[in-house]
Amino acid sequence: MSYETEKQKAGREPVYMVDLLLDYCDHTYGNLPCRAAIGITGEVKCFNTRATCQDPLSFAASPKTYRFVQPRDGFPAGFQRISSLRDVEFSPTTIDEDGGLGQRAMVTLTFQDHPHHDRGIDKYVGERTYDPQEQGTFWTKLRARNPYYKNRTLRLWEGYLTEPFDLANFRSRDFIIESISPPDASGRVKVVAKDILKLADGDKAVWPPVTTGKLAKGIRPNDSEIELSPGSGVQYAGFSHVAIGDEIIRFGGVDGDTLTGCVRGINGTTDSYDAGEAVQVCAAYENQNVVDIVRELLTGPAKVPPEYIDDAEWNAERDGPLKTFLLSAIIPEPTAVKELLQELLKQCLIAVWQDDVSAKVRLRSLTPWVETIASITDDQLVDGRITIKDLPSQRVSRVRVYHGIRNFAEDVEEAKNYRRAFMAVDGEAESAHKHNEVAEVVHYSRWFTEDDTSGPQLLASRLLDRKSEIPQSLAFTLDARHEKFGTGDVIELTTRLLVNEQGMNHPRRVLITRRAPDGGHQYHFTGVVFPDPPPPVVTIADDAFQVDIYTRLSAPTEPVNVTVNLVGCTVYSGSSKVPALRSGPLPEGSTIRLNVGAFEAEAGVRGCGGQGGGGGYGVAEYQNPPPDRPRPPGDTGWQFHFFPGAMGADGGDAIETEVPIIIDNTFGTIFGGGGGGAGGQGHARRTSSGGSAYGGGGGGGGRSYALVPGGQGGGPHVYAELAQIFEDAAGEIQKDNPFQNDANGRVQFYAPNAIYTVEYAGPHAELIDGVAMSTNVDATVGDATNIASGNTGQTLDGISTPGGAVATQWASGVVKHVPDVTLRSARRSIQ
Amino acid sequence: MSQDPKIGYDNLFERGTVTATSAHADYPVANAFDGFTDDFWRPNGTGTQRLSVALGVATPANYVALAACDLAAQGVTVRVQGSADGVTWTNVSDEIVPADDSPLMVCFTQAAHAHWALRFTVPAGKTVHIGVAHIGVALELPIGFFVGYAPPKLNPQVTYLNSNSDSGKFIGRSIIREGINDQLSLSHVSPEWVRQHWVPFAAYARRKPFFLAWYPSKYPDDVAYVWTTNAEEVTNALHKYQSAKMSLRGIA
Repeated sequence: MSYETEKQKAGREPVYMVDLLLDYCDHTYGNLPCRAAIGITGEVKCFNTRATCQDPLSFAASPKTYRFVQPRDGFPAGFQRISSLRDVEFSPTTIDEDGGLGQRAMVTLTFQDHPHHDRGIDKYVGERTYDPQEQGTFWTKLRARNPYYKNRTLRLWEGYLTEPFDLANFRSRDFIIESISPPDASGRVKVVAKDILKLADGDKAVWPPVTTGKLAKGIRPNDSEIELSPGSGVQYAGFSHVAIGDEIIRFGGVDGDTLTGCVRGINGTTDSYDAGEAVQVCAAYENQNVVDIVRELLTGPAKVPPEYIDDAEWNAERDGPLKTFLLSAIIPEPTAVKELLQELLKQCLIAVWQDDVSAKVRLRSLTPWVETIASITDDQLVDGRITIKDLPSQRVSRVRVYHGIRNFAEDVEEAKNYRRAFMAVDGEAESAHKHNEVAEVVHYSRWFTEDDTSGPQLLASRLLDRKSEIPQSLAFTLDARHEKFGTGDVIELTTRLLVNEQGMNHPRRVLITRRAPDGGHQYHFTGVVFPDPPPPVVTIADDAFQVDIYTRLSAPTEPVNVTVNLVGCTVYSGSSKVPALRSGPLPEGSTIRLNVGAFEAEAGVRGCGGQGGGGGYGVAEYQNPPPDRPRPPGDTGWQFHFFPGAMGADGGDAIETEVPIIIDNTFGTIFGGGGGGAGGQGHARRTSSGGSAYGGGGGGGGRSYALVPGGQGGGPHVYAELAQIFEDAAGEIQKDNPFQNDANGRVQFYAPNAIYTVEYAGPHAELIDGVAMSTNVDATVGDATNIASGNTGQTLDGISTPGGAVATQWASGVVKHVPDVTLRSARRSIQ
Repeated sequence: MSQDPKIGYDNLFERGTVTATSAHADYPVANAFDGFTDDFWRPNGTGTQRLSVALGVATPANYVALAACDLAAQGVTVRVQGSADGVTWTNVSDEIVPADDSPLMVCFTQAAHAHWALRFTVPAGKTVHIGVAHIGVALELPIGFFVGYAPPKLNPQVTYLNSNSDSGKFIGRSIIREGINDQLSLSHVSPEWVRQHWVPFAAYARRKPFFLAWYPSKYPDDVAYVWTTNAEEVTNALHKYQSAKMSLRGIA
């Protein structure tokens, strides 16, 4: 059994339980180490609480659990509890969709006070001289004995009664106790507790910490050492900046009570200061990711226990959608952590909240294009409980971000204190044909540096993506059976109230901003409607090897309309068998929009060059005439045979697609790999000293992208039989093989009257230069410029120079298997 | 055959010195007769575990009642015993083998002892919890519960919450409260009976819960452990009789 299985059942019996975990001393009165004694330290024994302790130095507290349940049948005998819980009012976490800490979760519990016998609570109840049932009440006594309840743990259990009872059918969540009221006139006691992020709410959580050091002696503008008041130097260890007056000073180290290596006037202000001037430590951040800063603030000054942070989830956000938020700032004076967090979270559009179920402190970038995790339809929505509202006041048509602060010590919300202002405007949304209204949001960011353009741009684009049309909020209720998601999740909602212009249901994506349990029976949700997501986008900004779009999209199972942006990069292949860029097996119905050179940043796609063909060979053959037949006139005895080189191999394709594709190549070049050059034909001829045979030059390799070599040229063939036929000194035909290869790659063989030399170009032919293609030749995809297909080497007549033949025949089939190809010659604006 | 409805409020455990064979330090024997169903006495051992009360003088009893216990779940049996000295015990009732863990009320031939005990036989490896234990003389009501009376065990008071979807489907149900509501109403009883029996009973009922068996001779398992929800009422009726009633909630 479990909470998840029990909530699925009809006739489930939801119930709440509450634990108060209050300090309770482990020791026994008067037994060492407790040195309390009746008549000496007190008149009666303690109640094992700090307020009643008579030996505080020995007080050793462990949490004692006071468990309360609702007064109903179904709890088993033997289950220790106090049945005085009357009401549970749960105000859950509410995410601020614009980023921030949002509204903290709070629970208000109402208990009915009652007499109590103190058994199980007062360790010495049997020794008391009074009847505890008749003296005081449960809550009045608990408050008197436990005045130090604040910030102790309250655990709320939400679950289902079963037969037999099983605690596994409950899930719990911890809160921090805020207050326990005295009983009112009706004997009702209210206990208020908040979630763990309450620790970040208080004014006492500040950063940087307050430091008490003062100048031990006055300093002048050029002084690089600062002598602090005696004993205060330790407060400055681990920091790098201090503020004196309006001047921010960087220091290199702390030597006792002296700050050394000081660089004065970091913020442009330098002055002289008298002894006694306060020296306040500053918090300094340089190029640090926003997630790491938030984590430091929460687990440091806010004292949120680190185990509440799900590091894996936080790091995934840091290294994913938030990786570009690298921030720098100096905080010159103690500032409420809550204020710093709100700045960071709102300016980077991040929500931080404590999860209702896992109790973990969650962090999520409020990007609108995250995946949905569940689908809800009218079949699950509780009747009459869905409402949808337009929020015109929350629409945003332009975002202005001030960044590059001039002086951290001055007002951070003053525009003139910034060097830069970035503005993004959705002019179409503001136009007369649309909203006809300007809706501006302004951020003053001390965290974005002057040179940081990506942070302000990302903030602006993410806000405009979500809010350039009128935002909508909605509220709905689900039965507990269908509660499969929580605050911070994005779901797909299909309801009769959300239709398209044709009246058909229009599934919408909804960010859940609040989930309120209703006694384990139902859950009330609120959320904001996200705009429909754009088609998936694959953006490649660095040179990439063999791109497979199907793989890049994590093997989609539903048709996708994907946009592929190649930005200032080249996609290439190292094998003529594998295209540089291919669709892969995208589901039928998918389309690709390929922007080669998106955002006017030139880019290219390069197929791999083909292998050069092997060189041909020639044969020079000398034959003695038969003894019984004289040599005819003109017959020198030499015969020459010429054998062609091999064909070069096709160059590789640049692009292969199995689905319709639209290519915007205005700022791009698409080349098939150059075909390998054919091998040169071999040659043999008579020389003045006899006959010579030449191997043909190897074919040139096809041209590829610079990062991969061209196709390998073919080597020359030397016909080994050449060495098999010669006369020895006695005029006899010999079959010996004197074939030798010298250090220069030359082959020599010996004949009676001459030395014959075979020359060849070397082990590899040079790469051909015939594929520097800037015009479209024999392409299959229309008439756009800068598309060239690879060439195939061919056998050439005659002998060419060593180094291979120039290929002249272009291969076709750059784009294969394309049902529908459109090539745009004009650049389409891509967002 | 009379319905012989009985009320078990007299509890000798509240009138003498109660001891037990053993008790867990956090769950002492006093929890067994304080009336609360959310605390309990938990013996430390197994085998014979006796919950006994020393009264000083021979005191009569004819019923035993238990609630908020897990006797059936733990396979525990119980027998009522009496003793003159608290050392040598005599069986007063048969061995009681609870069929379930709902409230239990068993009557036996009335006897008087200076010491009374409930002897629990706890199987090895088991732990029993006793929430409420009564032993004493049952109050027999002068009239039965006839037409219109709703036997508590057959009339559980259950509050439901249903979930219906926007498309009209049944998608969920929760039971948010269970228990019984009952009405103890006696019409046309003699003023003498009211004064002799009802008044002391009502005085007790103002403080603590009690057991109610509406037809024990025929339906011995129909027992409820109930408590009043408001003050009792006694009104005059025809022919110099009186009527008495109280509203109850409880478990059955």
